[in-house]
Amino acid sequence: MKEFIKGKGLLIGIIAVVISAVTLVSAYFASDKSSVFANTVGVVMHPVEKGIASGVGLLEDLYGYMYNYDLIVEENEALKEENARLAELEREAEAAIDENSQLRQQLDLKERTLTYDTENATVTSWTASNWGSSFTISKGSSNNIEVDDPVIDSAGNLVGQVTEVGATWATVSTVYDTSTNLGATAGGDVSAMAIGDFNLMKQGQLRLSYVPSGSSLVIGDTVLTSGAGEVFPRGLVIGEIADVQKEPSGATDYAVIEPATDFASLSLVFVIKEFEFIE
Amino acid sequence: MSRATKATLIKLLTHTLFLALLYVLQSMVFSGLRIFGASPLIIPLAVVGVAIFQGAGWGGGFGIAAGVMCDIAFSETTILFTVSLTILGSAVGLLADFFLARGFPSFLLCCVISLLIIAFLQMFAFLMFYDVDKIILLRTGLLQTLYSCLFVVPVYNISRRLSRRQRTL
Repeated sequence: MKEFIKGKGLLIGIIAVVISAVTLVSAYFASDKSSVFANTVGVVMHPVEKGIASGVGLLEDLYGYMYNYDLIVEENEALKEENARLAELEREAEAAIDENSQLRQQLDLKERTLTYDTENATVTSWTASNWGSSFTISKGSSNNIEVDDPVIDSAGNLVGQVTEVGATWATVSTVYDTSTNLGATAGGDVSAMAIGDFNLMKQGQLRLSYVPSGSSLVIGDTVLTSGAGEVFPRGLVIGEIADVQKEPSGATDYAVIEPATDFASLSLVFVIKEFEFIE
Repeated sequence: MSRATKATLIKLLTHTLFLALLYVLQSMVFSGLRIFGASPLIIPLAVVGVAIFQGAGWGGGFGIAAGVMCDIAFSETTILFTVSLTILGSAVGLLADFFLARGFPSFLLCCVISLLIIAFLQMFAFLMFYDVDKIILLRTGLLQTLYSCLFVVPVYNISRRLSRRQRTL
């Protein structure tokens, strides 16, 4: 045993310390927060991940076609009905936009529009970790994606935030991961914090903390990003209130948020690289 | 090239392929095969297998490489697996070199203990810095350990075959 510790053991210890130091230092100083090892392995394994993801997608499509045909027909009918309803809503919205524009002119109010530059990416793999919730996407720093960029789905709902970037890949922590901590508004007038919670993460939910006691929040209220901190644009849909409870201290309330994104079927996401409000 | 060098190179290559296969399974396949919300950890089982059959040197070396790959697969850890799997690989290898029989019962025992240690290390930050229900943490750790144990037999067989192959070269 002494021979091992003096010989190979010492060498293994030194190698482990050097690798750990290189990992820590490169992850700390790199602008993309991914270590040199993670970036290299990520670039090498990315084609494999994409291949497996497309293979699984193909099998799921085939399975869906073979065994869920009736469901697809039913869904198609429902979508046709929804499409007709949306077309009617669009006509009403056009009239409302015209009216809004006229009223703005009368009151001399400037219009404030949110514009953002997005990059679409596909979900290549989900983490196998039991202690966090994240997934890898098919684009990285070569597409100007940066750490902290918000990520949304095709409906504009908040999916999460980029936490690590490699050259051709990026890791996105979901909105219900324990690292989430962002300003939110709910029910129109309640300002609070949307925070990831380990207990709720297991059910795919997150927590709305620091809700003033006796607020008017009710189940079903929509929770939006507040834009505080300027990391997330204001007005992205986080989800809706699923439950309202009193904190043990009794001073404030908290609510449980059910994310608006359907994570089970998430395959395409949009990374917001830049955003601004134009007046 | 001498016969010994060739054997070492083949040994390195087979272990690299073994680790690459485990990485693909761990990071790309098992994430979609959750049971009660948990997914298994198989890379640490391989570290124990290599350490049991090939001793502390290979156990520690394989532990470093496996640890780096685990830290890459799980974005929330930076060096936790690199450090812990190196120590576990060396420790199990030393135990196998001097005290343990190189068989399935020893392998199973070392796997269970290693998985429990890793689960504890993973939940440590939550215990220290977050207000988390300890029952849920324990449940998650135990589920991860139990689910991982389902893969003990295939990993044991592959590890044993790898060590036998080297001896016959």
